[in-house]
Amino acid sequence: MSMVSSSMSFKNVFIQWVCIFFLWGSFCNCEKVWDAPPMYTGPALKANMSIKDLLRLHIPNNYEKISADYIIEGTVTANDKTDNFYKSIIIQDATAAVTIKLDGYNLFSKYAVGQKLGIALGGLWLSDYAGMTQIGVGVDRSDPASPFLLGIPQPLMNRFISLLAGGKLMIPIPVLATGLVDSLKGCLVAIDQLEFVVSDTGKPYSDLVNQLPASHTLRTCAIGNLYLRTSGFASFGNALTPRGNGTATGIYTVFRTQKQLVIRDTSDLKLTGLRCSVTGPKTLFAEDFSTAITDSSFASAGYKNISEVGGKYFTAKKTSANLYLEISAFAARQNAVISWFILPPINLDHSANEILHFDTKDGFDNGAILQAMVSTNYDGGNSPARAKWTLLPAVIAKGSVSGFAPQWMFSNNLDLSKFKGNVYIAFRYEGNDPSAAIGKLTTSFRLDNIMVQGN
Amino acid sequence: MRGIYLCLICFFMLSFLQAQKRNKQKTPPNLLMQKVVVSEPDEIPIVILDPDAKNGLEPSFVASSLHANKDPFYNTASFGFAAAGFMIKGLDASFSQTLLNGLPIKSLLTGNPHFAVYSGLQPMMRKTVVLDGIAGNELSFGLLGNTTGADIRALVMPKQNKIAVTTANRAYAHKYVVQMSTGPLKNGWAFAAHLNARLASEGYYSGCGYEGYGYLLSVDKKLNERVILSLSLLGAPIAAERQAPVLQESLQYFGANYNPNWGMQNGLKRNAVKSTTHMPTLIFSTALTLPAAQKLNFAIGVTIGVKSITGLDWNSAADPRADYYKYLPSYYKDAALGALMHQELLQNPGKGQLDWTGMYSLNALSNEPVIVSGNPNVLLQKKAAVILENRIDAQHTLVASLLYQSPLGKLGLFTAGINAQLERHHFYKKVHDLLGADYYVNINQFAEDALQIRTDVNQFDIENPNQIILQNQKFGYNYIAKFLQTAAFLQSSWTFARFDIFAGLQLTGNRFNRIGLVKNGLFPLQSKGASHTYYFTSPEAKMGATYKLNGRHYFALELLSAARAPLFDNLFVAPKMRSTVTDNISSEKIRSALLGYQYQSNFCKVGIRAFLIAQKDAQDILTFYHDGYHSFVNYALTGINKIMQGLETSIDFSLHENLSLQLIGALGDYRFSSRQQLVVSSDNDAAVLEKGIVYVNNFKVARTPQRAAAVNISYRLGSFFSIISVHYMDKRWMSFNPIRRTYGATAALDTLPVQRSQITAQAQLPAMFTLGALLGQSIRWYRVKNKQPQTIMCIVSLNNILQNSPVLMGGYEQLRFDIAKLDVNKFPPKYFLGYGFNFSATISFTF
Repeated sequence: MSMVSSSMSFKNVFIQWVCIFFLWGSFCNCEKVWDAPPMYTGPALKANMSIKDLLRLHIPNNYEKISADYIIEGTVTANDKTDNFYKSIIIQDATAAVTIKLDGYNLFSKYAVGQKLGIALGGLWLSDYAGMTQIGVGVDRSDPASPFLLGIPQPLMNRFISLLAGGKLMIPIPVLATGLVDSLKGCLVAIDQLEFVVSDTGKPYSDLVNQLPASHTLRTCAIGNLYLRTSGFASFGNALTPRGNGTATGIYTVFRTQKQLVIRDTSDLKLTGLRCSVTGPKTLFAEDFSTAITDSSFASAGYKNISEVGGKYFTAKKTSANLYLEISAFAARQNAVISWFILPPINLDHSANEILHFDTKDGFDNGAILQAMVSTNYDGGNSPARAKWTLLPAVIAKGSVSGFAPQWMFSNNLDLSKFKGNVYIAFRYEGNDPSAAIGKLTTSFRLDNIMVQGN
Repeated sequence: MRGIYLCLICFFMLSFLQAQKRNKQKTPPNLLMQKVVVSEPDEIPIVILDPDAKNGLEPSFVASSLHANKDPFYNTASFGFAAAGFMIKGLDASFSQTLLNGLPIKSLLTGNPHFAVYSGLQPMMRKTVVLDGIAGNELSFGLLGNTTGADIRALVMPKQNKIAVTTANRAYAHKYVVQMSTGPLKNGWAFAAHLNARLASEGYYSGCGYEGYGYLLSVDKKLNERVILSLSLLGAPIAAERQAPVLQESLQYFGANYNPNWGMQNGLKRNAVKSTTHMPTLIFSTALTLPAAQKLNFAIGVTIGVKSITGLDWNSAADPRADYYKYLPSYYKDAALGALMHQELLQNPGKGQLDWTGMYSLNALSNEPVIVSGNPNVLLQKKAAVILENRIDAQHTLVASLLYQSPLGKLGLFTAGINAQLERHHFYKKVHDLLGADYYVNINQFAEDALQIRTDVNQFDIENPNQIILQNQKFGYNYIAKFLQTAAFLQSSWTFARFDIFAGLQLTGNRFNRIGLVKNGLFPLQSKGASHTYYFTSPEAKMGATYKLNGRHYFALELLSAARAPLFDNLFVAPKMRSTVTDNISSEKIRSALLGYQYQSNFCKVGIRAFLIAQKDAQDILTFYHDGYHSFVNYALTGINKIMQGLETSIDFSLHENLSLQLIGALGDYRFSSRQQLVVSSDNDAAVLEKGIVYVNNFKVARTPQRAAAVNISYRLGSFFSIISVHYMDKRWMSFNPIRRTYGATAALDTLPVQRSQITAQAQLPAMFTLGALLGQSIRWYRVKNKQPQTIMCIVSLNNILQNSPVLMGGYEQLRFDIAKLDVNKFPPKYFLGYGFNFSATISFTF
């Protein structure tokens, strides 16, 4: 009796609990779904003065506190995205540009290039650094000999700076290197016909290891007094300066009397054209085999003529007074024939836009191949296969199945400009001459007029 | 050492022989060995996140016992002194244990009782014994702290149903409890069940909501007089928003209730740091009664659960934490700028909170479109600069325990046990909320300084470089920690006319290793795959005696020598990134001696205990941003020795039939007793940067007050009872930063106008007084129908009555230190806020 009643009551109570538990579940709002709040823009500031007017308020080497409720508007042209600008952004309007010192990192997320800003200047300070006007929040005079302008700290940025709608990328002001006047200081400019002096090409933009900045001289075809200044913290500091000529976009700055250009990223430099330093291309290497000894395996100082397998060498031949090299697997009686002809090293450090070209002619073509390749890590020894070779997209003669082709085939101009330092150029022949009559690859190739040019 | 073990084994064999004899002499009970059933356990409100905790998931101040026993000292120490983080004998939670149906519920990762398993289920642990220390422990070998043995089997609970409602201003505002137990039914079955809910939209701390539930279901079947089978399922799903440690300067600007973890979003307080735990556990146990009063208890339990905690993560954004040191006026040395910041914060107290709108705006400004690989139709526009991440610890535990007991004649008791625990933690991170952005990139921004060395060092997973991470996808670290612990012990105790003695031996084996699941760019060779497995064997031996002069005076002596394996997180230097371990791997050695005296008369009870505990060769690992090296570093500390010595006293006067007065005192001297060895290695390339010595000999152990006293006055009249308590807690030391006590940190002292003591002295927190009261009234009647008793009980508990705002419960020096200018105020200490005035009021109906 009591057993029945207690288990009954257990059942009832249990059901009650289950109900209660599920009721609880209903108000168990375990994870609130949070609505995205509207974007913060700050007060809708409207400019009541131009940046040019603001710059006029500043007396060089002085510190002025702005007490009036001046407001400027401007578009961000540079920030700390690549760390080439440090704790600062530059804004520009139709009249001029000014640097704003901000004491914070990762400013670019908020103040992206192209973002339009309004700056409430009341309470801020004007000063200059080596000739560039800056806006800051105060002056540190703890060392009276060298006071400096303090950047706006992170928690105060929203108090002075508002994000405004309608921003778009600032179009750089086109200018010649000779036309860099003071009113352009801080502005985003695009200077045409620029190139680095030869000694400053192929150099790292700055020294990241020691975190030291670097200046590289830029010049137009005649003048050389503009410097590309790059911070030792710039994320692209390890990249190498280009060798060509073209347009450079960046912020025009001065350091006292020195004119400088500061880029936002390497894509600001479009120096891909021919340098203006010499007229016409300069020949870095040329070989027409006119001094070779006919019908002998070609040998000359600096050259390598190597048979990797099969015992065949590039041999000098002569047809109607023209000397050239020839190679074929014919009569080698080997299952594989691989041979290399490697030019002496060619230095590409003092030139730009280098190209390679040569002529080929084929005979009795049955499928052997000739390749033109380039390497920067070949050691000059007898095992070229151990080096890393880049195949060049050369046009090689082919298809002359009976006898030799009547005309030489031009290889096309093969671009070498992405290589630097000492490079080796190799011609690699691959064929075979098995004992079976079928499957022979014994094409003969002739090679002549090898030339590397640059400027 | 071996000689001692041999002696003890002989001792056990003798005890077996003795068991055959019979002794009819009556012996007075030993009052030093408390074994009590707790009536109405309160709950410990203290669960505070320790930012230095290795994985940020474990609360640091878990009270060492959930229940107090009848000893007035332990009662006060567990509840009253807990407001200041008091640790009995200076011992942390790893020196205590909790057993449910004989099964140890602990985490091998932390070494602590696994509180998350049974949080909130204390009302079902009515049948609980709390045993102090190593003496007379029938459940296990025992630890220097408390052993809480809860019997949650349905059979032991009386037939009863209960409903209770609590209102409080602590972690939760409301608690609802429904529970029932059938008691033993005639067919041999017994059932018990419990459900609770603990809820607060905002608890004691500002912006800290709480949503916790608890459930327990026990089913027992008594097969016959000898065999009982029991099955219990329990768990506590809890989501709790957290209070952060705060700077003194923040309190000055943002008020005494300041919590930097939340900010306003669309008019509501949103807390970025929210922990979620749910550790469902199934325990099967069986109790067998064998002939000759022998007992065998077997229990096996499995826990499969997840702990997680959210937090902000950012890349290419300013630090979004509102109390970042550069956002406070004191950072600005320029007076005018400092004044401007001061004025800004006074005008905008909201600046102390998180700026959710700013974070969403930053993400909304992003314009970096990517195409998700494998699905060219999905174009993601916005890359997150700030996200909420969820750090997850998915756990599996399997534990089994076998306990055998046999009387040794009339006088003695022999206990032996073995247990084994297999535990696995899977640690990883997920994107919890992209805050309006479309994706995040799996890049380690702190490795970017090393980018010049190799181009892929900043990848968290070089097998999936620049991985696009969407909501709820894994990113960052991903590894498994695996543990196995096996232990066996045997012990005996005898109760003679004038002496009680006990002795025991335990041998514990630990093994663990790390299994990396991703290959990161910084450590491609050490990050992925299984690490070496580390083995430790830890012997322990204990013995003790009580001399019973007469029924009034008791004298006791207890001795312990033990070893403990190091914790996983103190062996692996940076387990999130790699499987490198510290240079000097050592087990910790512990020696303890305790002298007790107890006096008992009708008028007064006096208890005095003196103890000396020496801990040797502990180790620790700290990871933080080092301003000297300009990078994150790992500080591996070894050779940490500690001495804990002190006195515990309690005097209990029965002034009147209804009135009693208790005087409680704890006097401690807990300090480090060695110079620690230090190896500093870079977090980014594991290069050893520095080896040295930390000069901290005689520095104080932090967190716990080393001096505490209390006066409790209890008055009881019929079914009304009340206790008024005054507590005093002093000698509260701050956790110190070892870096400031090295040669390197003080090298620049000669050239700077800074006093050595400013760098090296250990700071102290002010003394704390609290006043508390507990009032209760019960009404009981009997139902006419079946004469069942029914009770309504009201309990009101008031704590820290005189203190309106939160109190400084503890503090620590930040590990980051301005090593160039030795400016200790650049990264000033942070403080844990404890409860000021807090209360709970409960009405329960038992029927």
